[in-house]
Amino acid sequence: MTSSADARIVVEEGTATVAVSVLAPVDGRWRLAASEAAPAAVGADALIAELVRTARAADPDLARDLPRPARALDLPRIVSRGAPLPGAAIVAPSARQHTALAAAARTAGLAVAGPADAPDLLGAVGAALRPDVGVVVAGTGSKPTSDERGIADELLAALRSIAARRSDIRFVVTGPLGARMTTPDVRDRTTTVVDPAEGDGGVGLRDALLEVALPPDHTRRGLVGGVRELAFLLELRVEVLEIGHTAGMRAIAWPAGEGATSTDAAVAVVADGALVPADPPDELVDAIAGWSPVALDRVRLRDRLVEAYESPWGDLDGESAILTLAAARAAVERVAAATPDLDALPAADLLVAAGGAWAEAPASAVALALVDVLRRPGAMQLGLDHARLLGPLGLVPDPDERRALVAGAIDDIVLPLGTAITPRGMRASRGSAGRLRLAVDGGMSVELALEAGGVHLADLPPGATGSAWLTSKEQFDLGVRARGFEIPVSGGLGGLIVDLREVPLKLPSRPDRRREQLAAWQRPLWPDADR
Amino acid sequence: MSDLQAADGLDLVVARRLVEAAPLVRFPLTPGDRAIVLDGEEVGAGTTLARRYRDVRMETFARPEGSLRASPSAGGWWPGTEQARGRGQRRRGTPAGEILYDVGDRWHVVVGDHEETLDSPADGIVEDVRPGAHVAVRMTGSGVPGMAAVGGPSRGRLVTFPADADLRTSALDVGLAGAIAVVGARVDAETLTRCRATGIRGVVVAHLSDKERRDFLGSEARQRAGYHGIAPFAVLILDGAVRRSIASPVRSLLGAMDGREVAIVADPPMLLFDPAGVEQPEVPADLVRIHSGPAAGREGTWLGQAGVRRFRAGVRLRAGLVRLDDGSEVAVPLADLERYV
Repeated sequence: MTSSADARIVVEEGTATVAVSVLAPVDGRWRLAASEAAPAAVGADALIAELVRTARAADPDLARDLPRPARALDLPRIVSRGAPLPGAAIVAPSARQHTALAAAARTAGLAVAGPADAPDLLGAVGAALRPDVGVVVAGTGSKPTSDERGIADELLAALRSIAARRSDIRFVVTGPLGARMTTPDVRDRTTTVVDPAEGDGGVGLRDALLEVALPPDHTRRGLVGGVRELAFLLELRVEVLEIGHTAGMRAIAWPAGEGATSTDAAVAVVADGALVPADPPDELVDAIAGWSPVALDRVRLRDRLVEAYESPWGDLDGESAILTLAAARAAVERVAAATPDLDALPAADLLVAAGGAWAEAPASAVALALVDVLRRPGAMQLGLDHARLLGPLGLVPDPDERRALVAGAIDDIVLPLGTAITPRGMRASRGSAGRLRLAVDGGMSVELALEAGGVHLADLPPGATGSAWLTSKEQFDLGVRARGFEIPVSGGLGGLIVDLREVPLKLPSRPDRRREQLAAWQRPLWPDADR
Repeated sequence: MSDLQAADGLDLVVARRLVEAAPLVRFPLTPGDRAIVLDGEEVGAGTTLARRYRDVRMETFARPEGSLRASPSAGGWWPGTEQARGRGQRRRGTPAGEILYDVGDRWHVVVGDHEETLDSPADGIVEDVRPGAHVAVRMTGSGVPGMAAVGGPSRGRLVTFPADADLRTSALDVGLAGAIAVVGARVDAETLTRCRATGIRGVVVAHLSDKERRDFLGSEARQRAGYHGIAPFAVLILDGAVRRSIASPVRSLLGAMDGREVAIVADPPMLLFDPAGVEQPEVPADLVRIHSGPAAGREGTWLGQAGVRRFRAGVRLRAGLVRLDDGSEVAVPLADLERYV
C-alpha cells in the first residue's frame, strides 16, 4: 500500500519541457505512480495537480493513497533544472593552445564565443563581456613555449580587465599562469588546472570546467549521480546518452574499487550535441536530412528545424516525429565524434537514452535510432529514461535515500527497450549469413535464419530474459572473433534486435535510395510512421 | 490561475503575454563603443545612448604624460591627447578610445572608425551601463513580444496592411517612408530590401522563412560594410519560420495602434508602444490558437481536455478539444496550443 505522506514529487525542469512524476512507496518499494510532461512555460505546479487528478481518476486504489490535487503541491519535491550552460570565452596565447582550450570547453557543454583563433585579446575580452558568457578559459600548457611566455603578461592583464568588468564571471586557468591570478577578488573566482591538455587529451580540464559550469541542481549533474547508482546496483557498465534542447551528454559509469563497493565515471557534455542548434549551419541540416526518410528540401527542412528549436514542445506527431528522430541520430553522431575518449573505454552493458529528443517516439523506434548510430561489435541492453527521473534522483543529497529511491524504482526509471546484438563481418554463405536461436527463460525457443546486411527482430517482451545463440560458418566479430556466441539477453518494447548491417553503417549516396533504405529499416519497428 | 482553468485543463495550455509592461531592453555594445548615458538617466525617443564604431582595433602606447592615474580603469574612456611640441621635445598624440587593459606602463586602448549613433527608440530610464557590453533601458511604455528580431532598433509610425495579404514590392512607395509596416502573411528578403530602400523603418511579420532571414541579413551586412551608414531598419518576427497568420488578439492590438509611433527592439524581440490612448483588446479566456503543426495559425474555442489521443505516426499525446472558427471540433495536442493573457 502507498502512503501519500511518504510520496515524492520528482520534477525535471528542462529548458523546453517540464517533466513531473509521483513516486510512492508500494509494499516497501518506491514505485512510479504517474508521470507527465508539458511545455516548460506551463510550469510544474499545474502539471502536478493535473497528474494527481488523472492518477486518482484512473485508479481508485491509488486514489485512496494519493492526496487531493491541491494538496499534492505540498508533497516533498525532488527537483533538477536543466538551464542552458553559459558560454565560454577563450583567452589563449597561441592558436595551438586556443584549439586545445576550446575543444575542452566544448566537451564541457560550453559554447565557445568570440574569435576562432589566437592571440586576439580584443576579441577575447569582447566575448567575455557578452551576457551569455559565464566562464573564461585561459592559459598555456604546463610548459609554455617562448612565444607563449612572451605574451603571458598581456594575457594576465586581459584577464584582470575582464574580472574588473564582470564580477559574476568564473575563470579556469591552465598552466603556470594560474599561479599568477593572485588578486584576491580574481583568485576566489579562479580554478587552476596545472597540467591541462597533455597526456589525457584535455579530460582533466574538461572535468574542471564541468565542475565550474554545472550548477549544483543541474539535471546533467544529477544524471551523473543517477548513472553511477545504476552501475552500482546493477553491477554493470552503464552509459547514459542524453540529447537535449541545449546540449548533448554522455556519461559512462562502472563498478570500481575492492569488491565493486564504489563506482567510477567518465562524463562529457557536448555543446554541439543539442537536438537542433539555434542557427543550424548547412552541414548540420544536411546531416539531419541524411538520416531522414522524409523528403524535404533544405529550405523547408531548415524552417522546420528553426521551429523545432524555438518551440521544441510543439508539432511532435507525424512527419515531425520522424524528423525529430533523424535530428536525434545526427546529434548522437556529433556527441560520439566529440568524445573519442569515451569510445575508447570498454563498451557499456546497458545504454540508457535520456532527454527530450526521445520523449514522444515509440520505444522501438528509439532502439533502432540508437543502434543506427552507436555501432560497435557487441551486445548491449537498451533502456529509456522515459519519465526523466534519473537526473533529479541522482541529485538527492542523502546517499542512503538516493540509493533506496533508485533501487526501489529501478524498473520504472529505465524503460527496457530490449537487447541489441551487432555482429561485424557476418557475410552471406549459401543464402544465409548465420542463425539465431533464442531461448526465453521458462518459455519458448525460436530460430531465425539471418540475412546479411539486415535488421532482424525477435519478440522478447519487457521483463523476459533468456539466451541467444548466434552462429555462422565463418568467424565474425562480436568484440572477439568466433563462429558462435551465447549472449544473455533481456526483453523490452523493441524486443531483441540482431543488426547485421555494416559497422559503421553505410547508406546509399543517392538521396531517394537512402530514404527508401531508412524507411525500410524503420518500418518493422515503427509501423505507424507512414500513417 | 482560476478554478475554471484548473478544472478544464486550460492551465496546461501555454499562456503567452499579449503585452508586457515596462520591459527592460538591452542594447548591445562591443569594446570600443562609447556609452554616453549614465545609470538612472531618463532618456526619450531619439536620445543618443552610445556611439558605436564599425571598425575597431587595439592601439598600444606608453602611459600618456597627461594621465592622472598610473593604472587606468578597464572600460574607462580615454579622451586622447593631441600631438605637441615644447622645449625641444616632441610629444606624440594618443588616440581616443576605450581602455582595454594596461601592461606595466603601456596602455592598450580600443580605437574605432566610422562612428554610428545608437539612439533610444522610446522613452525610458537607463538601468545599467556596462562599457563594452550593453546599455539596458527600462522602457516607460509597453511592448508586444515577438519570437525574434533582425536589425534595429528602429522607430516609425505603424501602418497595418490587410490581414493575410502578401506584401509585394509593387505596394511599396516613398509614401511609406518612416513607417513600420505590419504584414499579414508572406514576405521575402527582396521585399525587405526594397522596404529599406524606400525608407520604411521596419516590418512586423508573423513568420519569416529562415532562408529569407539569412538572405536579408546578408544584404544588411553588405550595406553596413559600405562607407556610408544606413538608416535603422528592423524586422520583428512574431511567431517563427513556418507560415501562419498573425494571431487575432495581436492583430486587434496592432490595429488599435495604427498611425502611432512604435519601435522595434531585438533584445528582447518586441514592438514597443506608448499604451496611453491605445485600447487593448479583450481576449476571451477560452480563445486558443494552434501554434505548431499542420494547422498552425488557426484559432478556436477551448472546449476542454480530450485525454491522451493517438496522433499521426502513432504518437500518443495529451490533447484538448477545440471548436475551430469554421465550427468543426478537433482534438489538438495540448503542446501545439497557446492562449493569450
